[in-house]
Amino acid sequence: MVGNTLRYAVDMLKANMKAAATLRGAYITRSIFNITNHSIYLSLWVLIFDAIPSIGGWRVEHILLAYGLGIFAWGFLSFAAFGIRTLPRQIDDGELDTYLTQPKPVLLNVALGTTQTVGPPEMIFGGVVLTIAGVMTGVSILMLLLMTVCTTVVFTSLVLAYGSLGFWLKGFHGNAEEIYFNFFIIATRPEAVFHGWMLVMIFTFMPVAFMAHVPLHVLLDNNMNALLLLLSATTLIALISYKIFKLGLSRYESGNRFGVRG
Amino acid sequence: MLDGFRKYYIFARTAFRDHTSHRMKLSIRVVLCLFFMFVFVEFWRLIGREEIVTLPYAIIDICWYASLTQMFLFMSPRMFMTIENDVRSGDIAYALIRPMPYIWMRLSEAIGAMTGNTVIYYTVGIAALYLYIGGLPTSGLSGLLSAMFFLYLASITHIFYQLMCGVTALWLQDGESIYRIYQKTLIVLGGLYMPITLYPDWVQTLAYATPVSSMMFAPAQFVLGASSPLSFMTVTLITTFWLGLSGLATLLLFRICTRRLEINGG
Amino acid sequence: MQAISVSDLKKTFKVKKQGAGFSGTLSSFFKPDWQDFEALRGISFDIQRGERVAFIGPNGAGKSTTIKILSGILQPTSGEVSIGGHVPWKEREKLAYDIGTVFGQRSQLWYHLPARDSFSLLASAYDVDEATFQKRIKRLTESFDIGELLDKPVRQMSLGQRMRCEIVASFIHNPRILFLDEPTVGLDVAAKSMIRNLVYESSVQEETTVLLTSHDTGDMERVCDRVILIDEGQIIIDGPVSELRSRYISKKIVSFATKEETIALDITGVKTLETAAHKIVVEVNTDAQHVEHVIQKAMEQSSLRDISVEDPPMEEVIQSIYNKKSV
Repeated sequence: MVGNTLRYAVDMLKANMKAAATLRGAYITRSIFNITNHSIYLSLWVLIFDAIPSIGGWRVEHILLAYGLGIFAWGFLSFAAFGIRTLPRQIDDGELDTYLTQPKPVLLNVALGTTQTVGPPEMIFGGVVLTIAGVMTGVSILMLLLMTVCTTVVFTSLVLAYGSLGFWLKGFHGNAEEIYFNFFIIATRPEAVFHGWMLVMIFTFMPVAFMAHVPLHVLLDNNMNALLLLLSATTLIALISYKIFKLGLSRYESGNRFGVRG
Repeated sequence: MLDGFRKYYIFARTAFRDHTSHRMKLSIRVVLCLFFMFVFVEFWRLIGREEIVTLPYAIIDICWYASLTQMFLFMSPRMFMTIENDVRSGDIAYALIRPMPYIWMRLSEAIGAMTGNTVIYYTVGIAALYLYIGGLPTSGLSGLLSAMFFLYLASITHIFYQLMCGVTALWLQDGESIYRIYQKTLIVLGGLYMPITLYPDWVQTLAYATPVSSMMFAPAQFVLGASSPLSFMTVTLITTFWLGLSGLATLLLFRICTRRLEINGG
Repeated sequence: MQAISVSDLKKTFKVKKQGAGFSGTLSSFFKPDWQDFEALRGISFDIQRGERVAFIGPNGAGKSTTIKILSGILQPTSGEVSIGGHVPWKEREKLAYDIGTVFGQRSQLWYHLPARDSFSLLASAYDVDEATFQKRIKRLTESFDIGELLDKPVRQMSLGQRMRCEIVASFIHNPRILFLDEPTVGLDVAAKSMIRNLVYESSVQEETTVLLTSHDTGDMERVCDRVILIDEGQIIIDGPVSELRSRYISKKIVSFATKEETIALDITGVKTLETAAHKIVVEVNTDAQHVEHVIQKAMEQSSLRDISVEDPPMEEVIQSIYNKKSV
């Protein structure tokens, strides 16, 4: 049963890649746009650290690490679960109807059922940024890989949780994209910026601290408590997000989302 | 003539109402915006506390500056999406044969929705900032009001660029990617994170040459106190200049792209 | 054997109301006004295995709501449903293997890929093994005549071609029950009749139970043996299609394209609806006159270029049902 689901997931991913291959031109332009986009943003931090060499103990290599983790997660999400990013739009268009009549998990269909995936070029870009930062800081490669996985799981879960708000709010797609993007931005802010209630926020309702701040402690201070905290938080965040999605799905099934449609 | 304007006014008013009726969506966005503004405030307070560099501005002023520029980004509706969707679904073909120009219709709607946002952000947002930052900027109420006034005008320029990004979807099928590049340029050269006066000279020169600095830095620098580099007169001039030029560019681009549409037959 | 059993099914939606004007906007911002809307007011019916049933009614009658509940997409407010022994909203995954769905407005096919890829993906979704899949796809390709469509990207297909592939897609896992929601919406006359024949033939061949919704009486006549007419969330009529036809649909709309500039059809039971150069549209009261006779009369006057015979629109049929019931 699990084997069949896994095989189906692989088949979906293959279909996605095939669709991307038929749209080669669009794929390449989009990738170039995305990387330009990230480069412009990264240059901003170079400018900021040019004016102010150290902010709350963070220097340019900290930003590169945080940003590399984030960008890799973003790339992975776009590649292997693009549909989660467009969840609010899929809900609005009633696309979950078909998935609900099929035997495989709805979330799997949501994540992999839309084409337009980009991602591998962004993952490579993230990898390059991480390599540069890794060389600058001399962190363990194995740990860096593990942190990449954690950041990716946390970010994907956050996108799922906040995207699921689309079950309650119509036309949420635009807002959701804005929110995901801002998660990414907050996660790459120097940790010392956050204190008091803000610190509570980034560990609870908007747990972006687990995207970069905590991984950086694991990487740079070899802090095993931080690692333990990160691993359990990652699992918890993934579980809660899935719960929120399920809750939203039951609202979808109630039909009140759409009201009367004949 | 008056009748013509009335039509657009009605579109704007409808968009205003429609926009303000989505209360959950609006509230979430306001809360997010407040959160991000407060993060900015803390960011600059941290830099102020650390005293690693001496900034030419009072920390309280930079806090206001960074918050207002962030607010600016939240005030505009994402109009490029609407247009891109019109293009993707093919609805634009029907919209084009309506008696009123499509692009002006979308502009009126965007201004209506943006005005709805402005009312909320300029009351709730400014009040919250006043409390959180703990006072007015050193340039006082007049500095703050000038910044708010020009940010509103600049939002219209911002809408023009959004319209342009959306219209390019007729051409490249992908308005969003273009928008994101424009947005990043706006963030960097417009001076979202810090006043562009703190950038290296060559970047400053580059920023001044682009319209994006007139949209965020120029209006928001009124809260930077006595040392704000641009006068009221200068900002009035560059704002009007770029508003007019961007409007013209939008019209031109729209004409070119729709001509392509007619040739390609949709 | 019973395939579908529904009893006292009810569904109520909550609908938000907004007042007019600025004050309306303001007050609904702070205190939205929710209203209940009863989409289904307690409907019951049973469907035997192999039966083909049309669910017809005007827009907003509750057709789609019913089909969505039966296929496991929506949860009802109250009532009982059993589809092949499963309660749809509780045992969705088990149900999924037994049913196939076609929603006229949605696609199960990948837009940029050839149909073949979508079919093989669906086979994977329904755990159909490769050998069985190949056998089925071969048979379906023949009976739906989609040989030259298999390797064509879906985005390049016409709506009619796409719909044929959609139906093939829903047959891949050999479902025992097929739900079709407005399968012919937006299709031209030729494509409509093709789809109707194919659904009919394949359901006979595969012994599939069919439940289709439509607001086109043609779908019901060509495909189904039984009709359930629903309006405002209630069943108005449940019986054989032939009975509905003979009792309530007593009109046909006949259009002629003629070689002659004008022809006149002054026959009892025939009302002229529209005339133009080389064209005449009449309404035939089938209680008083045979359609064949009218066509014969027209042929005597002119060499016809084209004839089309259509049913009156759904709304009129329902109106006539109400009229007869109140008599």
